[in-house]
Amino acid sequence: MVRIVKKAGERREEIIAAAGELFLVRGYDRTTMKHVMERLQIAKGTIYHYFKSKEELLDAVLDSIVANLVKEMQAIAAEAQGDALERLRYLIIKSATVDSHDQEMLDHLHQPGNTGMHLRLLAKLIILQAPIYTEFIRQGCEEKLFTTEHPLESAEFILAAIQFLTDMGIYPWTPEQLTRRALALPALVEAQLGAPKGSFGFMEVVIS
Amino acid sequence: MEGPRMESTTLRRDIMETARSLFQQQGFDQTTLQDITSRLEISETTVSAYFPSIDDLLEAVWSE
Repeated sequence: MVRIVKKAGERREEIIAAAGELFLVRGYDRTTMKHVMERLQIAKGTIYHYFKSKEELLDAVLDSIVANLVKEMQAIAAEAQGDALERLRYLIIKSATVDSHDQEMLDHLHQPGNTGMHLRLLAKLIILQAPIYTEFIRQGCEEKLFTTEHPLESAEFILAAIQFLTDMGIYPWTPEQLTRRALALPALVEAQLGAPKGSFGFMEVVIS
Repeated sequence: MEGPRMESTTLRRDIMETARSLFQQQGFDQTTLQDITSRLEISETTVSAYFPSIDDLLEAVWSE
């Protein structure tokens, strides 16, 4: 067998990519070191060299998925024009398409065995997306559109509401139940930000 | 029944923890089954009753 020497960073990325696919498709619990090893034709010791536990590898996999999603959202944020309300509206509507475009990954995350992975992914995503929203909320405060004294925390609460409570994989709402949550959301965001009544009415459509 | 089962669970745990600490200290590739057995003062046959190979042992330690 020809021994292929790869750069450490490259090998690490390769393990993360293979494990990510295996975790999603087979489920985290059912994926063994052997599966990763066979996929990449490498020794178990090599995997251990980079990741001291399966947990550590999962963390790296989730970081990589979240980094890609956040990068897409940063690109959307950079395109957003206008005052804070217009920019937030653009960001929220466009982000909803980023969240749902990788339907295959979402379907895998919604499998019963992947709940733990799904929750950790959402937790990371909320924390890393929040700074993007925070910037727009700060802008809104400067423009006197919002009055919140907690831009970052407001962003986190809003994102948690959008991403967690309306996630059908976590809460299998009926369409009616989801609509009720969607209808309540604009008022929550407006109160949280101290924004004019009705300014986030568009969110009803994004969620439902 | 309860007694021996407890003992075997403890021994399995001891083997795993010893392996974990040796893998961490000297790396997996540098760790032999003998390093583990001599530290625990047990035979390789005893270890293989729980883990057929050192690869299986690594798999168990790593997956936890």
